Amino acid sequence: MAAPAVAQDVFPPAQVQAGADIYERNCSPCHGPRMLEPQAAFNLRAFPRDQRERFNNSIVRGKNQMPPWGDMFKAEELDALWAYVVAGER
Amino acid sequence: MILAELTVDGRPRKALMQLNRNGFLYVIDRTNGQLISAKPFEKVNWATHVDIETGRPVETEVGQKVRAHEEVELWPSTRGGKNWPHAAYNPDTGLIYANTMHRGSLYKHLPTKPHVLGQRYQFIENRQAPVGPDGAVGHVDAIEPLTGKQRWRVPLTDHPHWSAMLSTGGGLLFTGKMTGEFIAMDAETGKTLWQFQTGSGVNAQPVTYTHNGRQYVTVLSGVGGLWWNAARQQLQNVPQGGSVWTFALFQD
Repeated sequence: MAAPAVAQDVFPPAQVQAGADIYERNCSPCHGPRMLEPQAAFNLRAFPRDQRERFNNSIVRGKNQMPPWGDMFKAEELDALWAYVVAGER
Repeated sequence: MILAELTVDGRPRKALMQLNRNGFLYVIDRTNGQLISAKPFEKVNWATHVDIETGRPVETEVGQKVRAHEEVELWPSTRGGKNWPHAAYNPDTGLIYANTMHRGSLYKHLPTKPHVLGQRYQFIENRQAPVGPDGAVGHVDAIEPLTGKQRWRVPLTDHPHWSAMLSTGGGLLFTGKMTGEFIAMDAETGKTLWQFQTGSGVNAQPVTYTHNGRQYVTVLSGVGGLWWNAARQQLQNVPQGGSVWTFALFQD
């Protein structure tokens, strides 16, 4: 028996693409193009999928070398970024 | 930029020299701005040479592909053949001594999208090209100003040096490592003659001076800067913390 799909792991392609655009513009300089070669920044391809709250907090408040982005991104943009990190570039 | 009096075609010239991030060593007559020489001092693949008449680089296919939005392996990387650590010129040897970098970029221009207020506007992909078979990611180079050729070069396989170079009248070079060693090298050969672990990374500029007839060499230690950001994992065992170190020879 296959495990049942977890609802929040399924993202519409348009949302993943919206996240990719936000990522390319804002995140790729440190986390690497297409989440490749993050150097000193967090490797987002390995970000734990069950830690959505940590993801949001790291962006909004910053963490270690990650600068706080504050209210730069709207809630739906954070959702799109999360969709991209979880489901993009696979 | 370094000032020097150079002999060019048998004639003394008041020169201004710069090891550019683009991989070329520019030598300019500082009395009139005339370009004397611009030779590559590191691996350069985006241009064949600098036109001495116009001062303009002549681009290769690599340079043209970048403009055409193709991914290229670009040498030097965007961090440059040399970054901010100062080079030194020794008039006794006629050589420039520099901590140089040896790494390409996998570089690509992405299609430009509309500007969004407050957000980045960059649209490039810039990854590190693979390290070559010799493992060198940087060098300490002794460079002839007018040819760009190395008289000697010492490969660095862990980290490039981000400390500046100090050249002394006694034939020594002083510089430091991201891993904390402050080192003295033989300016003739590049051989490391002495080293001292300062306790944190050295990415500062050594100075030398005389006080009451005794010569001193001083450097700051304290890991940080661009390379520390880039290589945080590899440098995680280098302690943070700032200190000033001053050295002198024992008196007879």
